[in-house]
Amino acid sequence: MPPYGVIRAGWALHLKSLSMSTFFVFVYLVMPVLLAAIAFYLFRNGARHVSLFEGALGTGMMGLWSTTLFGAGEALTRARREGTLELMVLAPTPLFYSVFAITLASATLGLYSIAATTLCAYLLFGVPIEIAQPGWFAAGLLVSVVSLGLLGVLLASFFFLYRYANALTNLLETPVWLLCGLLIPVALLPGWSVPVSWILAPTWGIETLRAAASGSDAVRPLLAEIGVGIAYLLLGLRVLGWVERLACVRASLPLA
Amino acid sequence: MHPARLVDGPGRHLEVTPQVAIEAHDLRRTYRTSTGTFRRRRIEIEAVRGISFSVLTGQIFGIVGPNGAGKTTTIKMLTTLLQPTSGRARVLGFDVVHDRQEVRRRIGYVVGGDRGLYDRLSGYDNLRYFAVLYGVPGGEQRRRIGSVLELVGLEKRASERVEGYSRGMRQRLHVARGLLHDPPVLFLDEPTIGVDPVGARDIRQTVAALAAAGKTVLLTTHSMIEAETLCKRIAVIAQGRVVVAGSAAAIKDSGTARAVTEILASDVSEATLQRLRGLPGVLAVSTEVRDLTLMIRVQSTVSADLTPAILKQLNGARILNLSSRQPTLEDAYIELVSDLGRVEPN
Amino acid sequence: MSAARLAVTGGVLSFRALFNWMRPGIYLPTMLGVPLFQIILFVYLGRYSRLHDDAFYIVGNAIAVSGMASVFGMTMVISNERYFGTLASVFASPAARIPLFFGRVIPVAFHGLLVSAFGFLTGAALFGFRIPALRLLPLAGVVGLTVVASAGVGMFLGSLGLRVRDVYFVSNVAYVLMLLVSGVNVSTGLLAPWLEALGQALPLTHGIAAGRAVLSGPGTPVLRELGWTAGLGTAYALAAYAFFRLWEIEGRRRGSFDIY
Repeated sequence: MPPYGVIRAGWALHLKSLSMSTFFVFVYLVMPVLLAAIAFYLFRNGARHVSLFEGALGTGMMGLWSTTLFGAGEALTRARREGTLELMVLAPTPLFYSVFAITLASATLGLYSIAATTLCAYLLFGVPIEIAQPGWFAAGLLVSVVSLGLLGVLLASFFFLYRYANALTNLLETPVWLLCGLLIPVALLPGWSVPVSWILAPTWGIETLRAAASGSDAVRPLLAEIGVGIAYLLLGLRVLGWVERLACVRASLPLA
Repeated sequence: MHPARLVDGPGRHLEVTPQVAIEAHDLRRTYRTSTGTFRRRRIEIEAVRGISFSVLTGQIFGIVGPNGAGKTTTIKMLTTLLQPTSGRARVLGFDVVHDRQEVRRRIGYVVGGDRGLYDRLSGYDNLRYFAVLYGVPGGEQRRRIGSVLELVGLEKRASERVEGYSRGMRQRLHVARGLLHDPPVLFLDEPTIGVDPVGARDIRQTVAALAAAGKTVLLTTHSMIEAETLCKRIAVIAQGRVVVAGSAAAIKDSGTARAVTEILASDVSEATLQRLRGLPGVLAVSTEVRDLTLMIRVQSTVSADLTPAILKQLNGARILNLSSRQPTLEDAYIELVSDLGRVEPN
Repeated sequence: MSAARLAVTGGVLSFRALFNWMRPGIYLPTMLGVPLFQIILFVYLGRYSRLHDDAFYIVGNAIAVSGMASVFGMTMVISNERYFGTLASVFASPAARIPLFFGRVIPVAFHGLLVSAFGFLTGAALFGFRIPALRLLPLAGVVGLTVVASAGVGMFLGSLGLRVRDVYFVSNVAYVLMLLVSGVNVSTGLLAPWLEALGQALPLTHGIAAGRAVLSGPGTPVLRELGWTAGLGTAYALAAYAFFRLWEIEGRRRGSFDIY
């Protein structure tokens, strides 16, 4: 029986704290909007005439990935620096839920990105927002945030275990944007990238949102995203267990 | 601690021996690190080398020692943050390694220092988060937060952001946090470090009141004065081992010093200090620099007056003050730890 | 201390500031990995939208990333000095300001050139982009000038950063803005007028235009764009210098360099 209270309290606390940090404002607001503007100009003037609304969704999802990535990268190392990591470990609730609360909060910031890019499309470029199946659209958003939060726990553990992880976070941002087909369809990329895209939640997330907006089958990609999320959950539990063991037993990773 | 007496039926008494709240048996902790940039060598550091003690319910137990003695490592082992390399420890009967969750539910951990709180939130919001984290039932939360804030005297400042708190206030908030889930056992790691004397006294009074209410408290400190005022029993730790354990009075008696002579002087050379050390009956000579003068503390075995001999050695120095007194716990402590070649604590 | 000696000293210091904290594990991913993926992203974006050809995006981004290295490098050098408290002692010295600061530009500029070269190599390796041999030197010249001019912008942002708490936010925003308005991925004529005007005020825009002109054929547009690049870069550097002097005088009057 997961402690929903702990997750909710942690989520609220970290959401507030992250949304006030100037770095994260850049990540979830400034960057997606500016990238969206570039995409809009390209799509509007290019020969293919890609839907600007799709561009808005794509850049919004790019923001969702970025916030998850940087939030996860920070999560455990920031908690260690602040001295709150020890207190999370000591709590009667398993560490997984406290960490998940943090990564879920970072993923939630991604919703701001999607809202911002869509608003920018509507206000500045006059793009009409047409969503054929709003119910599935909302479900898609929710599942994306949760599955990315779960992926965040995995990422957070790896970053905590690997000392130079901060450099990696910068490096993982763009490749995932490309591999998940967020802005550019995966079909345009080399063939080997297709299977890789299947294990990344944003691939299914963007497909769900696009399907829900256009009215096609949103259920299949949604289920795929849920499945991937469950895989992240199981892996995350395992890897976080390593973190705790390395910290408490071998004391090779300071908790403080 | 006297055995509780239960009256059961006319004239019959049952004796219930007090529970052992915390026990440690031969705890050891070794750290393995590597040094050097090019040829990395593995070193093993034995931070704790076989510590054993027990704490009865409702007692305040102090672990005292200089920096690096192993106090923090010990407390981390007892609070399940660190696994002992060998040895056993139990809190309220639950093993710290095998029954981690059970232990965590029943203890409060209070750290000293600036970290461990969310600066941008108010004191009240911090407590609200930790209340949830530590499993305080929803309906109870407001009441518990209110009562711990009152206990530490922060009710009026609770709505301010923690980043504006003084060290003493932060420390009190830490104590409040540790008490949210009403744990029967409290661990405090250097609770008054860096706190002003008035604030420190307030914290000590709170701790004493908690013990009086039946909570068991284990605290670490490097202040003997604090240990003496608060703790029923003390363990002196140095270099990972218990040097001596017992009540303050017992430790005082265990020191062999009988008299302490304190001299405030200036223009004292190192050679002079060496000669003082060499005087018959002198156990230890420690010094403390005070502005332009030196406070020399001579601990000696004989109750006979060493003053003439000392004055003779200090011929040529300027003496501002001289006094003799009975040794305190701090003197015993200095003697104990300096025996092991350690520098005297501050 | 002669001007040349000053410049070299400043250069060495900024070199250390740039590379001291950068171990290969951090440097390679950040300074080379990020440009690599940026180029890949925009080339594919260009292919998908079918707006310009591959060469447009490769040239644009390969020069833009050198601008990035420049801007970030300079702001880092300056905020490093602030962090280590050496900025105050620099101002306290009787040394001439100009050689001192411009000496710091050189490693940054050199570094920017390297990053740009790497960008072009990426274009060649992944997308078959080729530079005609005769154009190599002129292109290098254009990039070099752009990089130095961008260092001027970096200095300007760095000097602003002395007043702002979070200078990295400013430089990050500046960079992504440049990707939008400097004609890196969208030719400037297609932008809204106010965005286009913003782009024209940046040396990077003109540097990229010059670079594209060099590769398409020799002619006067190159020289005109180069003129703008150099002119704007100098203007920003002068503005930076003015700000530094302003803070310096203000600091002396107030009796403290507490911004340092």
